[in-house]
Amino acid sequence: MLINRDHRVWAAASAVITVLATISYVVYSSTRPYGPSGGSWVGLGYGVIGTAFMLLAGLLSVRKRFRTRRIGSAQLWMKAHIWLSLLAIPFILFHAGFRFGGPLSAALLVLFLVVSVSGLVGLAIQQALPSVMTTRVPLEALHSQLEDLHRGLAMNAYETVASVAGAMPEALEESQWIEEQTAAQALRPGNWKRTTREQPAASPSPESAKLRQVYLDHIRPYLLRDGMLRNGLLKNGASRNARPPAIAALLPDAPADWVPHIDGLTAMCEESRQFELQARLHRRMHGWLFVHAPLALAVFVLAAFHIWFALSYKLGG
Amino acid sequence: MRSSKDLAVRLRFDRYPRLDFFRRHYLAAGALAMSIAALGWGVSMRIGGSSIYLPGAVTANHATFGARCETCHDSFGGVSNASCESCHQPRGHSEHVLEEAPCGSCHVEHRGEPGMLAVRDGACTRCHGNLSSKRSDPEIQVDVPSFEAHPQFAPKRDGAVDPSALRFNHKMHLTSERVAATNVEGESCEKYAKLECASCHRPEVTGGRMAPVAFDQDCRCCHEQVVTTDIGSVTALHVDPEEVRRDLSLKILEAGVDRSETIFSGAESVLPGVRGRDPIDDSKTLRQFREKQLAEFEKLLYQPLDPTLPLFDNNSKCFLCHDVESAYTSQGDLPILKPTNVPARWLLRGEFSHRKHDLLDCKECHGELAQSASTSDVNLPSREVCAVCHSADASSSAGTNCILCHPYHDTSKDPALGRARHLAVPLKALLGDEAPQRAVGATED
Repeated sequence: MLINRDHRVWAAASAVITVLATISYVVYSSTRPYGPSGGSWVGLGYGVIGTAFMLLAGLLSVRKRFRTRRIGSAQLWMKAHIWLSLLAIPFILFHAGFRFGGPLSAALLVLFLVVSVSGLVGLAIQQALPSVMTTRVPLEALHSQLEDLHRGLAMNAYETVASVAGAMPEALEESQWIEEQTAAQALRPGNWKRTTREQPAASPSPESAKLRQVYLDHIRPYLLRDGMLRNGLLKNGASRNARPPAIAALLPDAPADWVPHIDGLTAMCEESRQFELQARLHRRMHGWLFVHAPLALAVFVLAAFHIWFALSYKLGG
Repeated sequence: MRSSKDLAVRLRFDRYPRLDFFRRHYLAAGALAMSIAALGWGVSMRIGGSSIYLPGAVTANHATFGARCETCHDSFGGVSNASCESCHQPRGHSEHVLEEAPCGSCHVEHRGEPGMLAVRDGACTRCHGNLSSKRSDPEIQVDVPSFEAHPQFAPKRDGAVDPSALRFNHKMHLTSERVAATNVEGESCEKYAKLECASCHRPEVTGGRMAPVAFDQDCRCCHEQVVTTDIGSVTALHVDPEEVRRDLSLKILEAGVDRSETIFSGAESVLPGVRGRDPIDDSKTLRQFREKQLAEFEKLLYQPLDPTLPLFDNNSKCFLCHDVESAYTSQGDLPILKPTNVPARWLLRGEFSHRKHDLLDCKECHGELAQSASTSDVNLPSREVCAVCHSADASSSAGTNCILCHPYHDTSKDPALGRARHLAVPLKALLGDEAPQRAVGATED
């Protein structure tokens, strides 16, 4: 949960500032015969404060470029980003007097509102989705490693089935990946952990043909569904409808010594499903940033033009 | 269930993890958005110039400036009064204003139509809503946040009376019929046979105020001052007593010369037993004659009003209407009349236009006038009468804006308007017989 009890001071301070600003705005606008104006000294004050809040909030992205520098904790920067951004909204609206004005100021205000709304949506998503992730993706892993982890699942499944049913030339990708992994391990320093894989059964039993068939027909297509691994992890939305195969049901008369293998394969399919869900939730959790962050930069560009021109002709007027 | 060990086996630490889609394209997307913003600004500037910065539509009169902001705005200096006055005639500010205000504090641009002349009440009430906070000893009502809170007009407040020292009875004038079909000189007064407000009151040509009522124009026909003695009748001028005396002297001398035989000579009777006529005046010199007759005329002219006589029989007496400070004496001292003191303007701080209220009958506002029998009655409508139409909440309100009655600018200091007010308009051509005799703009006193 992004906003928790640690935010109490920031929330309280923001609430107090917002209330004070609102009171001052009500008084100010009621004493202006023609309503509030961004060009008045008070209106300019709101604009300056709101812009300062926006700039300070925007420094979060700069801070992220220097993650290792000791300039406040990441949490502190995130708190500042959230609460200063929220504070900027009333100040900018007070500055604009709840009017769009001319073409440039209208474009600027619309962009600012889009950035603000996308930020609020993102805040809500970041507030809700982590608990969903915890509940629905207990096997959550590092997002940046999901592709490799999923490839590992495919190799493990191949290794498990091949140890019973023998090598399977149909599983060309898995064979190549295992060879690549073995070759890569050979190049690593001696103190690195080495993975020792079971070898394919040299003389598989005739019954193992059933397991081999279930793997090739159900397990392998699920793990490599929709070209997921070839084209990057889970880019194809159609894959979300795929369900893990019910392996035990497909092998009702499996020998007792296959049970650990069947359980292992079932767990791998489940882990694959959770990786897919994690990737989807991750996309939701961060996708809004693609609207929020670039448009925020556009706001700063237009704000610079707006500020320069407005000060040139409005100051003192 | 997957163990940490299982997971660790599958993790790769031999290469930098691949960033997610957002992180991979963050800078590109940001740069693209900034470029589009800058490009949009550049294209807009190319097409519309500085108009993209306009905070709102300009009024129609200023639309000709286009996007040339510098026409009015000084760079880093706002809009100065000098900018406005480079095109507009400088207007004097109200005499009551405490400090010179920027034009823009009342006339706000970039708000579109109805334009900059639509001054809002807030421009006035920010001071007059609580005047004591701006001035320690205000001479006027300190808190007038709206017309509802506007105090009663000064002439209509309790105890206020018409200060005029000129007897006038509106009730008598408005209820009498056929007061005088012809006057003593035989002149037709038909148009005054049934008096109405407009018989005596008419708005000024250049403004909405009522022109002052003038004796020669509005009273003379019925109240001709004809004084009759043995030598004949003389019409007295309606001027001050000194002038009247000079005029009477001339007229007496004129009569003495023109009709000397009739006046100074007797006549033998042609009938037996009938006595002949004595001379009308036995003066030996014209000077004697003039002084003797002048005393006669002035005695009649300045004798007190006789309430027992019919109204018109008192017409010759100045004191039918005027009051006196010192009376006429038998030694020939002229009376000193009290100044008429008729207010040339009742609402000293407000303007009212009768012309704008042409559609209303006079009695709609001056309803009590027909019952006003006393000179001291103030026959001005009260604030409540105005509020019947000028109500704040009625959908058909005639408006309650301060500037409807209180124009901020002192236009009397405006050279252009001043000239217009005192322009020699050919009133006769405009109004025909109703043209006032006195100069427009001249005050009664």
